[in-house]
Amino acid sequence: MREGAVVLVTAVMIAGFTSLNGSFFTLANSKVLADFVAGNVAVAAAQVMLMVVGEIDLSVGQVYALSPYIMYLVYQDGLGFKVGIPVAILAAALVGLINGIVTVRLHVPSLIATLGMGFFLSGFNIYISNGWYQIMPEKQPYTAVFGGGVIAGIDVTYLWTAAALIVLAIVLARMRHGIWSIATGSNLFGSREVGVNIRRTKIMNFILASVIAGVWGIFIANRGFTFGASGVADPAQGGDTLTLESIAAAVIGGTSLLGGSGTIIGAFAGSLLIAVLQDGLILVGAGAYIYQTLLGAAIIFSMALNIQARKWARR
Amino acid sequence: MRLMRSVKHRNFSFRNLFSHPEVTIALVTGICAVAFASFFPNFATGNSAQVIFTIAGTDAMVGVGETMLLISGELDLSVGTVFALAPFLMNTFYVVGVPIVIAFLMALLLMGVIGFANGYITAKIGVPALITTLGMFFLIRGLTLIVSNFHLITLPNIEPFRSVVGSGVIFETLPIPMVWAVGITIVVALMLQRTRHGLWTVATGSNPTGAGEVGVNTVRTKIYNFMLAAILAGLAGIIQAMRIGSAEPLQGGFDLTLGSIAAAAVGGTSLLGGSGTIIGTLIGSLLFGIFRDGLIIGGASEIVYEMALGIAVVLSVGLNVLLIGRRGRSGRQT
Repeated sequence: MREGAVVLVTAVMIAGFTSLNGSFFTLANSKVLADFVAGNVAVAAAQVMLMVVGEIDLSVGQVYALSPYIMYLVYQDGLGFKVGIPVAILAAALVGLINGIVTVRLHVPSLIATLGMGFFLSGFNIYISNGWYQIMPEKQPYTAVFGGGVIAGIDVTYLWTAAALIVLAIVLARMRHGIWSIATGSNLFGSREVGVNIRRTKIMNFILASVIAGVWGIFIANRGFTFGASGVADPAQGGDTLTLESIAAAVIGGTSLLGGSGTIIGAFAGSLLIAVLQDGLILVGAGAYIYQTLLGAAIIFSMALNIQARKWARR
Repeated sequence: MRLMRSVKHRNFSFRNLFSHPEVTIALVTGICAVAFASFFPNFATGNSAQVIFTIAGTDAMVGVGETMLLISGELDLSVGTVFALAPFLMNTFYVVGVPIVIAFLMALLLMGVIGFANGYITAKIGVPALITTLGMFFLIRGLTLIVSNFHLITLPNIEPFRSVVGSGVIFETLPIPMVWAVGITIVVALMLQRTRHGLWTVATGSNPTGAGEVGVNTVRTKIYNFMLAAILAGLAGIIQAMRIGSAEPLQGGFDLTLGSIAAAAVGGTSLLGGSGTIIGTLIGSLLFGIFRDGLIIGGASEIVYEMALGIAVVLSVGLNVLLIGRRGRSGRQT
């Protein structure tokens, strides 16, 4: 029902933007929207997994840039993508593991732990890249599989994203890890007492979030290859904006940070709304920072709504 | 809460002395200062000290507001952008003819309104402070860019307002921002120790449900602290802008926010709420200032500082949690 409301708002926005600028409602623009959603929604879904257990990850935006660049560096060292891609994914997993351990074992609130990690990584990304982006080399079949290919006219990234969303939705709804995540988030002590391994559940979600951020970062880095240009390893890819967008999409889609509830389809709906918002603002000529402002307001508003809805549901 | 954390002890002993977090952090700061000074002679000059005091001064002011919030169990991520907005607001009022001092006060008043919004949404409506202030961070940044039309402005050079608020230097070494910081530290520390609000702040942070039951108005307490944090952040922003002579819409930001929380944590304030020290935050700010200046003089680049800051924040909070002990608040933490 919540997602329905989000879709409704999105529809209204589409109508509004189209009336202001007709080119909004075109096939070309829907590709732009699809690109945007594909780049974000997976990370948003990962953020949902974390918020369900009551945590958050503010470093996803940086991991999004880290993995592709590490992949590039390993390739440049002569080891090729065969080694580069696993190393890049492992690096992302390591980040997630550290985030998880610091939060769960050292009891540093995930906000601080991932904020600090985000800071560290932003410096690190600049350090390993000297602040410059590089052209991503093309090596089939790796490039095609990891974001650069097109199958039957559909970008590989879209297929990966759709698959990931379906898998995550199933995990959250039907599989033990998902059930445990929800349990951990809604009743920490109670879950522990019935045998839920809250530590492992949380740490796994942290790793999941970072790995998704890293892998999709690679997909997006290779995106240039899908339309005849070349991919780019950009240390500034993603960043704070992506982090904010992933949280916004999750929250707007109905996930409450208080834990225990959240849906993947909500993340998709939220991501779509944000895509429409950003694209629409660009097409009507508003500035990029207007987008950030509205996003900030949207987060607060949606969250307040989520909480009110919960209170009503309890009565 | 006393000016120094109160611990009942009969005899003076080193162990009892170090049960005060302020003492530990002061010692660490002193050691760092001496270490940097001996390795880098440039560090020990009056000029260097001025730089450290200036930066630490503004950071400390923001940190003090953040500390009160942390003690009451909340936090504010938006201070970094409130810091940037205030001078622009003040300038806007001045440009339409309002006398500078009134413009100054009006800007601070608006900061209070922002703080009220943060507090109301968090304490009354129930949105987690993290989300409220995260959203507010970007909201205020957007507002600042709109008000400033994306570029920096030069602020009016009106004496004695400028000297008093920003650019003055006392005794050749103590910059005005530090004087403000020390003054505010003392006032807020006294407020924490001796006023009902201070008592209620600690109560709200350590046991919200229990405090509510004995008559503490936790909602109002938190709202006041959010307002204080925003006002202090705005004040710090105006002071820095007056000192430099211009204001930049993107100044402060996450750096400042993180730095203020880190200074509080390093200084001995628990991030879980219920205990904290204002003086510790001031010393913590000094420590970070010394570190940053020391690293720069030592030739390290800004990137190294950023990475080090990230690690330092996590480590200091971890240490903080370890030493002060996990405070299990009803169903919130493992």
